[in-house]
Amino acid sequence: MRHLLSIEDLSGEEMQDLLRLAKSFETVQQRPVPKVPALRGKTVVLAFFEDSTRTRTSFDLAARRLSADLVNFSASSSSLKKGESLRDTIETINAMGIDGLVIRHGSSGVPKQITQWTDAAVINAGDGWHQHPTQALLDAYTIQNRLGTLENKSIVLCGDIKHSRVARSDVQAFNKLGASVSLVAPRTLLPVSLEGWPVRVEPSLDQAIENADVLYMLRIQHERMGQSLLPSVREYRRGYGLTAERAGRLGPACIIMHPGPMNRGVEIDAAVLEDERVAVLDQVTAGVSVRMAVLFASIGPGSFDVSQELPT
Amino acid sequence: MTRIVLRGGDLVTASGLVRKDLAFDSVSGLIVEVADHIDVSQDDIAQGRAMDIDGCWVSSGFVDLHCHLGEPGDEGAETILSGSRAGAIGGYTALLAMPTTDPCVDSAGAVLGLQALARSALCEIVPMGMLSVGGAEDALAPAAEMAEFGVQVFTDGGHGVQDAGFLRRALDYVDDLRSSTGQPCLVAQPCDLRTLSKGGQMHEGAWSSRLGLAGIPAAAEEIMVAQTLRLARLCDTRVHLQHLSTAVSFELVRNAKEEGIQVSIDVSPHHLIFQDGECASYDSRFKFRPPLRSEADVEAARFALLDGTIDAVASGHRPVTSDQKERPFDQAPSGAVSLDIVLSVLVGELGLEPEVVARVLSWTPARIAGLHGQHGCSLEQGMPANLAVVNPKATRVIGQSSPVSRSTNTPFHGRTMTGNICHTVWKGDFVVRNSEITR
Repeated sequence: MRHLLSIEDLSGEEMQDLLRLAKSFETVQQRPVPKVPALRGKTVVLAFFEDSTRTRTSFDLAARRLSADLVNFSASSSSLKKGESLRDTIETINAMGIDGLVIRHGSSGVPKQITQWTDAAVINAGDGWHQHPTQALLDAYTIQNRLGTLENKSIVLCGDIKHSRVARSDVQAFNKLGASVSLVAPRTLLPVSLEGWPVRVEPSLDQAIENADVLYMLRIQHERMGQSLLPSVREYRRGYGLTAERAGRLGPACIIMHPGPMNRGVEIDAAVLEDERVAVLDQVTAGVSVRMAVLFASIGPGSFDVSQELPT
Repeated sequence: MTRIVLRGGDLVTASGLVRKDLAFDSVSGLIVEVADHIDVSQDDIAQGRAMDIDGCWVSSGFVDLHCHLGEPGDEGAETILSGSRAGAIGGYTALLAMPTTDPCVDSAGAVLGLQALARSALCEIVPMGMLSVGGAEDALAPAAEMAEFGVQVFTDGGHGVQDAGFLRRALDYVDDLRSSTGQPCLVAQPCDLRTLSKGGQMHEGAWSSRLGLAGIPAAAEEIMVAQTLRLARLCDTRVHLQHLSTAVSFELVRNAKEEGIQVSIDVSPHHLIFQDGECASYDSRFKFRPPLRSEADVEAARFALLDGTIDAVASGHRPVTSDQKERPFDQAPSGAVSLDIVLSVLVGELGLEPEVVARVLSWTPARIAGLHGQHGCSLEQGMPANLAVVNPKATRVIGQSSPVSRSTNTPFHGRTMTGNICHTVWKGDFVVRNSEITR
């Protein structure tokens, strides 16, 4: 694997390989010195053209734990503010000699677009409404850890599907790993066409959760209210929020997920977050291992003995 | 008089190709003889006054109803001169320049300014005028004053006039000029309902949903088409709809024509070839307004072209600098340079008959724009020598020869296309000879 632009580019088998690799990197992180020299001498640039805390920190730690050299670059401090074009920015970074370019951008398609301007492996850390492939991999990893497998599991995604890169990536990843996926959302927050999407649309959250193995709540953005996609937070919560009452009707083994950051009291109630079935922090932890696997698969030397340890 | 003879070609007529030689006078700019065989001397051949064009079609020069020539305001992308060169290479002898320049053409002074810039052009530059001052849909632009300097087609371009009340008044006012000035004045209108299409980047459908790009529903066009047709009936005026793209739009127009509504329409070459799936490359050279549509829409456009629902193919030539085209898809401007590929699309890609090509590129657009005294004329003695000589078999790779337009934004880049212009003759003068610009 060189670039990771979209889950569409991966087969179920390739995803499993990445998840296995992530598993081996998880063990590394439990050591006293949670580092391996797997990417020593490699340079990774994190180019975040859109704000992010968790994804950037997660990639940052992943690169450090693989001993890569790391450069952080964010739009607020960048030459883009001075009017430099995307192409010039990327070609400038590229000219400094880098191996991996992790990019987050508010416009769909930018990671694909910049592959023509850099020799580095491009890893998509989220582009517009389009894709967020490492999120989907860490979600799959979390589910596999908790439930053993995704095969034949019933996964419900609830919330703003239309504007969600997480949903687009998750639907494809979960499907390729054998799960059956259903969507729940007000019609205004569903994509106009679901042609080619391996999903079922459930009419209500109450119906959808009856036999769910995984309930995945998506973040609802407050600006959607202003676009008359929704009347109010209150009305959204009533139909599509995970209230304590709804959580009570979920099966005992059903896991509750969220990509973060969460709006407590909107898509998920604070009380529910105390529940053992909530896997939100597992997702965050898995993120580092999965991103180590992705970075290694993209720019690593091909094979590496994970048992190698750095001297304490 | 300097007589030039085109020998061995086939003249395009309404009933098909007719094998004839044709002579024109480069001084008067008129056709002087059309005959089965015209004698030429060795000297004529040596001096280039007799050209063998075996296997080529001779059509009246093409007339483009919709192009953006950059000047004034966007000279980095195109000037009137460079745009006219692209037009000449494409076989055009008249280009109707969209008035949405910066500043826009909404006064007689602006028309005169444009005509001054067009003095060295390689084909006739026909200014269009704005319907409203500044495109604000507030005050009517001085159409009669502009008409005095030759403007006959009025449009606000962009998304088309959104305010139905304003469009009604504009239709009435412009139509009234037909009787007061004797000129065939006409309102042209793109059809895009802004309240429905706002924020959209591509055709709304399976592809936009998958690619995570905001969609432009087909209905945004169709509602505007229906509304404009209804207003044309209310006012009992002519109207021209620019760049239609959906199957329903074509059906609405087909029905309107049957009802007797005086409507003409055009389609862009890109909407006859490309579908919305091309946007999967996130290459903004596939970003258009209206957007590239579905397979069914492309099929409907091709059918409507053949059955005469579509009156003209208009290039929609829109030069954009590569800096701007390299922005992310949702931030890049739409459009493509296209004056040089329209013929190849119709001949090479669609395999249209020569008389269909001449109808949609020359005869009908000339009539719509009121230019039929000079352009799109029948090829007879005494008619203007505005000619496009087409080699239907010749091929070229797009983007390989040095560009004539200042911009290179075309989705056809690198594609081998068939059907080239050999010669373009404007007012009896070779502006393109052997596929090369002469000046």
